[in-house]
Order: sequence, then C-alpha cells, then structure tokens
Amino acid sequence: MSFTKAVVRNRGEHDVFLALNGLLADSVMPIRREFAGILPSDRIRVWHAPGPVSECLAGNDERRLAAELLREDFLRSLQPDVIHISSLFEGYVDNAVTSIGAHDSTTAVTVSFFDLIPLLHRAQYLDPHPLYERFYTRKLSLIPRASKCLSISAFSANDGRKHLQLPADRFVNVSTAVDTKFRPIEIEPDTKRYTLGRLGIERPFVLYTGGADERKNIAKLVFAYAKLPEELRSKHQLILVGKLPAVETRAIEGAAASAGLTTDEIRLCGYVDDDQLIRLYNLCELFVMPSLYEGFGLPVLEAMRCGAPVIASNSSSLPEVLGCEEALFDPENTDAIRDKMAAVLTSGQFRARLVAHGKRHAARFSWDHTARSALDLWETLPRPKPHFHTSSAVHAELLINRLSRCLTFSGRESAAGLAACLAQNQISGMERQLLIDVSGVMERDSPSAEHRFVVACVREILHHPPAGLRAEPVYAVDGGDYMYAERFAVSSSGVADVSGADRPIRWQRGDVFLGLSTEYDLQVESAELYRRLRDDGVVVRFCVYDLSAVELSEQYEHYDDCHIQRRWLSIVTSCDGAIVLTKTSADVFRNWLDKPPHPVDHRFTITHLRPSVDKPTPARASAPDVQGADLVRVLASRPSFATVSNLEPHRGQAQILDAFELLWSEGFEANLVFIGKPGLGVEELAERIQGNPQLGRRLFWFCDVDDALLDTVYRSSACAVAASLSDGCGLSVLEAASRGLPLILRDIPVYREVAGDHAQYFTGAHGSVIATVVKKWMDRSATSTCPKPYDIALLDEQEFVEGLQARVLGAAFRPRQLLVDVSELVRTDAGAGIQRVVRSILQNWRLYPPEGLRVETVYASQGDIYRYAKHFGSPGARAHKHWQQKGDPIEYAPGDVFLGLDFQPVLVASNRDFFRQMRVQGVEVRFIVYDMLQARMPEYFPAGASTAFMQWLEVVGESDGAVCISESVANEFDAWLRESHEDRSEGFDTQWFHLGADINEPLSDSSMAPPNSPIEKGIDGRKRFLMVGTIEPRKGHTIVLDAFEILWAAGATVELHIVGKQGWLVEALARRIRGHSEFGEKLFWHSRVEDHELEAAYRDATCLIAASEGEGFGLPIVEAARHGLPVIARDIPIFREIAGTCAHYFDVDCPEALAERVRSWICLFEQSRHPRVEGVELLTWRESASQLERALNIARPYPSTRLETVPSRKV
Amino acid sequence: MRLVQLLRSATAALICQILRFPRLSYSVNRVLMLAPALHQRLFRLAQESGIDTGLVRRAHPEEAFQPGNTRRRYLTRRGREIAADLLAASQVEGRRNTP
Repeated sequence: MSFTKAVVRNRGEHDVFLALNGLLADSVMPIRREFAGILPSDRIRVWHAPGPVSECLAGNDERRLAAELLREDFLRSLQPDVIHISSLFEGYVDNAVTSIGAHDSTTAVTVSFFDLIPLLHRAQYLDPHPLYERFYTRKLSLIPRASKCLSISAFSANDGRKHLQLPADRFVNVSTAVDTKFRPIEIEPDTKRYTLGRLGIERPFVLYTGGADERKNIAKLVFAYAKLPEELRSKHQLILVGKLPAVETRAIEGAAASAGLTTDEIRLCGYVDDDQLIRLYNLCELFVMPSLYEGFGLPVLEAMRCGAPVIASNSSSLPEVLGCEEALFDPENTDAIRDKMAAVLTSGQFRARLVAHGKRHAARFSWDHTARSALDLWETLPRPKPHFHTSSAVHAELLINRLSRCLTFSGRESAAGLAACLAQNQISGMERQLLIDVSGVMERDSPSAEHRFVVACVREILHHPPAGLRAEPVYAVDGGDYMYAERFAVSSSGVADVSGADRPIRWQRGDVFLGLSTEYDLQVESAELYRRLRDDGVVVRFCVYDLSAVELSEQYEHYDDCHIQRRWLSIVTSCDGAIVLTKTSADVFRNWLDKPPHPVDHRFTITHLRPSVDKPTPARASAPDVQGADLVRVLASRPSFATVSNLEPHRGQAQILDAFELLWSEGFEANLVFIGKPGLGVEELAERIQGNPQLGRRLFWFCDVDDALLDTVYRSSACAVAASLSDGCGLSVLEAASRGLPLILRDIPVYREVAGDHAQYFTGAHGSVIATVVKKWMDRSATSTCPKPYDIALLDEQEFVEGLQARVLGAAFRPRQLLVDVSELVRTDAGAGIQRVVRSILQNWRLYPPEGLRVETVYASQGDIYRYAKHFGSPGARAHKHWQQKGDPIEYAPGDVFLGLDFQPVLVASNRDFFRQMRVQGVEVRFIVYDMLQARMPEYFPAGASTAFMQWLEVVGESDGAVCISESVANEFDAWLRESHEDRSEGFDTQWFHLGADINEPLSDSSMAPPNSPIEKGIDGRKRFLMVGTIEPRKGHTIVLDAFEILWAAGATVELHIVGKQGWLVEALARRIRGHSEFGEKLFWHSRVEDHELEAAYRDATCLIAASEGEGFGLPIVEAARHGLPVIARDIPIFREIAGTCAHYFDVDCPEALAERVRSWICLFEQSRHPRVEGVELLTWRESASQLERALNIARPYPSTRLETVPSRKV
Repeated sequence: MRLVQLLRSATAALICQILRFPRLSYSVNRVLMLAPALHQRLFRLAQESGIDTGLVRRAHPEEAFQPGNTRRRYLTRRGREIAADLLAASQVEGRRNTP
C-alpha cells in the first residue's frame, strides 16, 4: 500500500491504474478510501472471476486458471505499458490471483521481489506442505517471464540472480522503506507506564520483534542473553514481540528454561499493534535482530527510524540495511551476540553512536525514493509492440476457447457465472471499439475517389489507432446487420490474409461507430441497428460526402437515388453527428436542416474536417482494355483532359463532352478522358459517348478503373476538368491536385473553398463556355501563366485522422451513465408528490441532459434485479401507467452514477448488496431524501412503515451521498447520520436542492377541459381557506378543524376546504369531517381532485393553511405562491426555509390560539397588510433539475472523459 | 493410549505423504467426501498434527463467488452473448475430446 501510494504521488505524467481483484471484494472499499484524493476513482478498477480460487483448496485449479485468463484479459484492456505485480506469491490461502503470460504475452510485467526464503529453506517451508510446494514452485516458474524483478535489497537481487539463474539485469534493487509513523516520539509518563505495565515490562529492556521461524534464530538470542553478566541481566529484560504460534512459544520458553532464564528475565508479549510497537522501539535500550536470513529486515529499519540502537547479524541483507560494521555479529555464535549486546548495554558512547548512525542511515530509505526508482525503471522498458490487427471477435474467440478448455461446465448456469464476470470486466475495462463502416468499399468493385479516401483513412487508423480505441472495419450486409471486415482489415494492415468467415459485430457503451464510407441501400436498411447502437450507448456518426440530393433537389426529384439519399440523410440526422469535408458542405447541410420538416436528434452535430487525399498508390493491376504503355503513348500524343467522377447528371460530363466536340470540330487537338461508372439518368450521355466517332481516338471512357489505370491517366494528362453543379468535398479535385495536375473547375463554392485561386474557373451551362476556358488554358499553359495546383493546401490522411480524433472521437469517450431509479413510477403512477418530482426532473433531464452523461431510467421489482427502463417517460413512449416492458439488466462501469430519485424503500433495502457491488465497481450511489418524518415521528405512520423507512435509510447511510429536497431535511439527515453512524458521517456527502414549480406553465394539461374549481361550491363573499395534502395525522387537520369550529361558533364567515385523499390513521377524523354539521356548508373535503381542479382551487381560495408538523419541502406553499395565494403556516424550519417572511406563522398547539391567529390574519388581510407571497422564491423544474445536477456534482470533469489527460504511459 | 497415539501419528504421516501428490490427494479426498464423518475425523486429525488444514478441504463449486446474481435471466445483453459463446465453445471442446 505504501509503495503504491508513493508511486501514485510520484507518477508525474504517467497514468497509474490500480487493478483490484473482485474476489477480494472486502478490500476494495478500504483501498478506495486510502486513495481518495490522490488518485481519481476511475483509476481504480475491479475485475471479476468466478471463485474460490485459492490453491490450498483442492478443486480450484480450473477456476484459478480461468481467473488468471480473465485477469490478464482485463489488464490488457486497460492498455498499460507496464503491469506491476506487487506480490506474486499470493493466492495460496486466499482468492488472490497472480500470473504472467497466461493470456497476454505482449505487455511488460514487473514484480516486486522480496526473497527466496521457502526455496532456500525447503525442509522448513516446502517439504512438510506438498500443496504449498506446488503453489510456490508454480509461482517461482513465473519469475523468468517477468521483464524485471524489483528487489527490496541488493542482497535479495543477488540471491535471485544466483538461485534462479536469470540474467543479472533482470533484478534491480529499488529497496524498500517503512511508514513515516515509525519515528522518535515523546511518550507521556502515564502512557509509558501503561504500555510497559500491560506487557509486564518492569526494567529497561532488549527488544526483538518478528516471527519465530527457525531462521529467525531466536533460540541463539535467548542463549546469548542468558550468557550476559548477571549484573546486566538483573537490570534488563529480554522482550520478544510478535504473533507466535503456541508450538513456537513453547519452544522459546523451553530454550529460556534450559538457558536458565527466569520468566521475569524474558517476556513473550505476543502481538502488539503499530502504536505500541512504535512506543517499544522508542523505549528499548537495544534492538537485536539475530536472524540468519532476511530479504530486507524491516524491523531493523523501523527500530533505527525510532531512534533505537540496533545490532544485527552479519548475514543476508541485514548488513546492507543496518549499514554499520561495528553493530554486526555472527548469528551462529552466542558469545558474539552476547558480547555485542553487552557492549551496547554498558557503553553509553557506543549506544549513542548507534543511535546517531541509525537515524542517519534510516533516512536513506523512503517510499518516495523506492517509487522513483521503480518509475525510472519502468520508463526504460519497451512499450508493447503493436501487433498485427486482430479483430475484437477473433480476440474474444481466443479467450472463450481458452476458458472453455479450462472450465468444465456443469450446465448453462455455470457458463452464465463466467459470462457475468467477463461481461463486467469488459464494461469496466478501458477498451473501446471504433467501428469503421467500410460498406461502400466492400460493395463496390470500382474504386471512386471516396473509395480511395476511405481505404487510405482506414489504413492510417489501423496503423495509428486513436488513443483508447481499437479500430474495427465493419460492413453492412443484407438484413440490416453488420459484420467485422476481418479480411479487409488484415489486408489493409499489410499482413497475411486470415481464413474463416467474417463475424457479426458486437458492441458496448462507449464504442464509436463511424460511417466512413457510404452505401445508401444497405445503410438505410440498417437504420434499426443504428438505433440499437445508440440505445446501448454507442456514438454513431457518418461522413457525408455528397449533398446533391439536398442541394439540387429540383433536378434530382425524379430519381430514386435522390430519395434514398434523403432517407439516408434523415437516418444520419437522427444519430449523433455528421462529418463533412468542406465548410461549404457544412453550410449547405445546416441550411437544409433548418428547413422543416427535418427531425434532428438533439445530440446531432455537424463537424467540418478538411479532406485528405491519398498519396499515389502502387499499381495493383493493369487496365482491362487499354494496356498501360499504349495508354500513356496515346494520352501523351496530345493534351489530355481528365474528368474523374461517376457519370451523373449533376456532374456536368455532358457539358464537357459538348465542349470537346466543339473543340474537335474546330480542329483542336486534345484528348478527353472520362473515368467513372454511369449512374442514373445518364443513359443518353452514355449512348453519346459509346457512339462517338472519337471514342478510342480522342475520347476515352473507363468505367472500371483500378489504382494503376488511374495513376496512368493522372500521370499522362495535362489537366483535370470538373464541371459538377454540386460536390460535397471535391475529393477528385484534391486527388488531381495532389498529383500536380492543373485544374479547370466550375465556379461553385466547394471548388473555390478547396482550390482557391489555384484553378481556372468557368460559369455557365453551355459547352462553348468550357471550350473557351480550355483554349484559354492552353494558351496560358504555353506561356506557363496558368494557375498551378501546387499551392493548394492538401492534408494527408494522417492529419485527417488526427482531426477526427481531436474533434470527433475525443468527445465520444465512454459516456457515463446517470442511472435514475424510477421503480415506483414504473409500477404505478399515483400522482403523488414524489412521483410528480420524478416525472418533472426526468422530463427536464431528457430535454437538457447533464453534460457528458447518458440519463438512463432504471427500475427494480420484487424478486428481480435492476433493469433498464429504456425510453420510459420519453416522448413517444407508451403512457407510463401501462409501461410494462421488461428491460435488460443494467450494466455499470466506474464513473457511473446511480440516483435513487424515486422512493421505494422496500426494493432499495432488498437491493442493499447490489448497491455495495456497484460502489465496489466505482459507481457512485446517491439517494434523494424527501423527508425524515418516519424517523423523526414514527407515531404518525402505520405500524411497519417506519421499519421499511429505517431500512431504506440504512442503505442511504452507507451510500456515497444523499441529496435532500431542502436544507431542513439535509440538517435532519446529517443529525441522524451523526447520531446513528458516526463512523460513516465522515466522507458522506449531504447536499440539498429545492423542488420546482413551473410558473409559466399551467399545472394541468392544456388539452383538458377548462378548470372546474371545487371551491366554487361555496358561497361568494366568504373567505375560503384551503388545506392541500393527503390527510395524515401530522398534517394538522384536527387542530385546524377545531379552530374553525371556534370561528364558526363565533359567527365568522369562513369556509374550510380540505383537498387531499384520506391517508392512514385518520379514520376518526374522516368520520368527524363527513358527519360534521357544517359539512357541505362551510366545511368541504375534496378527496379526488385532478391537477387542473387543484389549480383552480388555488386560484379561487383566499388563503392556504399549511398546518403540518413536519414536511420535506412544502410544495403547497410554493404552488400557492405561484398563484399569489396568501399563506398561514405552522412555524417549522422547512416552512421558514421556503416562505421566509412571506407567510403568516403560528406556533401554537391549542385551537383557540390558532383561531385567534386566523382572526388576526383576516384583520390584516382586510387591511391589505397581510404577508405577501410574491417574495417566495419560485424555481422552474428546469432550474430545480439544474440545482439537483449541481448537488450531485456529476458535471465535474472526469478523467476518462478527456483525451488530453491520457498520458503517454500507463502503469 | 499409546496405541491410539501411534495410530494417529501414522495416519498423519500417511496424510502428509498423500498430500505430496496433488492428483492422488484430490482423488482420495473425493472418495473420502462420500463419508463425511470419516472425512471430518481425518480433517481434525490433520489439523491437530500441524498439517495445513486447508489442504484437505475441497472447494465446492457452489461456493463460487460471482459479481451479482448470475442466473441466466439476470445476464446483461453482453453477458448473454458471452454465455452463448462459452456454451458453444465448450460443446466444440467436448466433441474434440470425445474419441
């Protein structure tokens, strides 16, 4: 722990991850707490495997091997440069798992190397325990696979080299250290007396601490001590501290007895905690370490740090740790031990010298020094070599096959257990896929400029994948599915082909789908898949190259291509974003989107990235009809003009042909080369070309071209001509420019943007226009004054991919989930206050989602686990009352937040373990606390209700935090936490926010009938007092009714309107109301009131009485304020918090006094001097949702959401 | 009394010898598990003789720790995909190992 903390402290630019074993779940939260504040919580990741796996238990072998595979696969997914194992020899008695090279042989692994004690003392440690021997030997065999062994001393490093016969540089001494709490301390006399008295220490003492194994040589120490002069022994005691098994205790006692020591002279104190040990180090006269073999000898360093004089044996690492020749003795010689002890105990000077040396020498050992040495070493290790592309599917299959070999499945449920672990590891890991759609490339056999662009980009991405992403080319197939383009990827990587069929794609939250190439038919068919991808948290973006169907809609209206392109665009706009290659296209796209009807997803963005152009590629094959050399000869015989793009009406090829026919008729010597397949609507043009007498002489048309032919044409041509009326990005123009070909272009914004002043432009639709420009260009060419394309700013594909990463992929780092619990609302919407809060907050978060978070509604039901309630409550979803769709179980990852927004105490309490698991995994769990009434006033609730509430509160208390709906509730909650769980209150985060009330929107649905006020049943002229809320004992209905009886008896013309359902424990009150003599005259009870009726009641009442003895918030006061309705309120903290000075308060418990307060309010009201509610602060639900968001602190920067925080190396 | 002591020492030595061979100890242990009372007695004897008591207890698959509830119907979408893959792979593996 200390070493790891020091590494974290000294990490500098490095990124450090702690990978914890989920099989040791109890240790996770303490470790998280230890590193809180020094390491972001998402840098602590937990992996899972089925257990138990301890080697001392027979029958664990298969599970342990599986655990090793799962662990290494998980560590690989973190994409570290170095993996360090702090303790390799673990997992014999517990479920620790360590391995090297079981599944991942590419990442460098280092281990902390302590000693070879069991190997060098076989008879003692290995021979009696065959299973342990097997375990030890197996672990020992892993050491040669480690890149480096970080030894704790030079001695242990030498030992490793010598006994394991490994290269000398494999072991590096980084030393070790002890906690800084081991230091000289002032000890109060009382504390000293207490410490020594408890341990039976009566005189100055010689101290030993440690184990009692044979190699510790305690017997020799005892005999040596017995040989001390009696005078010395009578003034001292030998104190042995440490946890000693009974057998060894008996052996030491036997040795002491045979050496003639009395029980007064030697004390075996057993285990003492660190605080006591530090005091003993500080108080001892001498510390002796007689051990025959140590890897380091930590007690020596601890004692020296505490200022004790230390002597030690001259064997193993101890001389190195002690660093003082005169303090050493021969551990095999009791006389030598005795002499050295006597020297210290009798010579003050020697003792002082040892103390001074100890302090000086101990200062050389520190965790920071050790950590820096380790970091220096890790920096020298080679990074994992990028190996050839293996798709996720292939990689997963490899792991699955290995797992299936080492696990014998007894049934489907066993496989489910392993699958659950692997699935959790994958979502908790760091690996994400960049699914690059190459459908167009896979489908079409004739490469276009887009095709070449896509291929170049994929090649670049595969060779230099964006940080944290695994690039996976994929392609659409019939039926709307996608497959991994494994063979395409491998061939693009430049390695041998792979066999076998391509596999269907898999995905998870945080992956990115990039529609790099277009294939309208198949992609339109895959619309449902894109929706599923987005539902599962995959960011889906498309590159848009062609907007002709939008830009030239009138010309294109009658072509099928136009319709399918528009359908495709509407699918694109329902996703996360589009990438266009020119600013002009971006403007065209935005203008089109601004015009209705184009439903666009609120997350949709348009990103403009400069296009890149592939460099000329080596020839793959020769042209099918005209051989390369012949073509070069023909094209070189006269000036050749190339136009590269599929034949389509808006591409302007007909106008170019007109121009050249004109030129040829004038005897102008020039070639015209068309490269591209015929599209729709160019049948006439195709016939014209095919029947043209110049075809094969001056006119050439290549439908199917490969790179070689294209290269030949570009090399042999004098100029490129582009007459498109619309072009998404001018890829073909850039392609020609990149080959140094001069350009004649139609004057459209895209070409102006791409080529600037470095091209000859023309306008007009007639062939003569182009003919004139061609002639002019020829004239200028002869004098070398025509625009040169060399100055056109070209980007290469590397820059494009970098732009893609910086502006498109970076923002799409694995989105965190905000899992909002709606368990009660899903089950039934009773329209209660809490459910109105849940609905309102959710509605606002759907419209204005917290930045960087995916709001996911989730629910649990009795006997089931938490599941997604996808689309619950979103527009278009079925009414929540009938929402019964069973969702997928939720998956969660570090950084996610679970918010118990709804109130379902029983379900929350029954999922206590589940919340613990989520927190272990790094998910923040928080709950909304609506009130503390059932804890504060349980007598007002039905029997059993408070029990469920208290169980719920316990779960809340052990979560990460609570967000209360008012400051008053927050204070009450904190008080409860302090009182009930003092240990938990530290680090627990209590926040509060206020509920909203949309003042600009009616409470009721505007589509409903005009509000019909229930209060209108009264007689005009009377003052109408309103009470709103379920009738419960705490609400104060009884005292208010009593007060009004007094008022009515006194002849006051007042009405009391009670709005609310009958709650619990109020049967007598309900009977009293219904049987009241004024019922229906001056006393009214409206038990079934719709929202719009309540709104009318607020409008028509004279005053609201809020008489409740306890509330979480006091929504009726806010609603009354919203309608300008004055308020008489009980003087309790929450009403003061909400209404401040804007209410008339009463603080009385007798009806007469309340009646008097109501009378006084009526007097004030009649004089218009009553408190006005206009000063009550009203929040909209949007503001309330924002307050809650701030209270949750979920918008804070999160390390994994920012690419720039991913440094160059990970440990 | 001395005879009992002698028998206990001999049995402990035998246990120690058997435990030297993991496969043998695994097989012996499986047989002994059929008679829990005898297994328990030997287990205690081994403990008292200073042999690591963990050596003679067999881990039961039911003890397996899992992250959460892992019944098939509680698996996430990803988990269901992996479970199907595992079952398919184990069947292939099973066929491969069948003569």
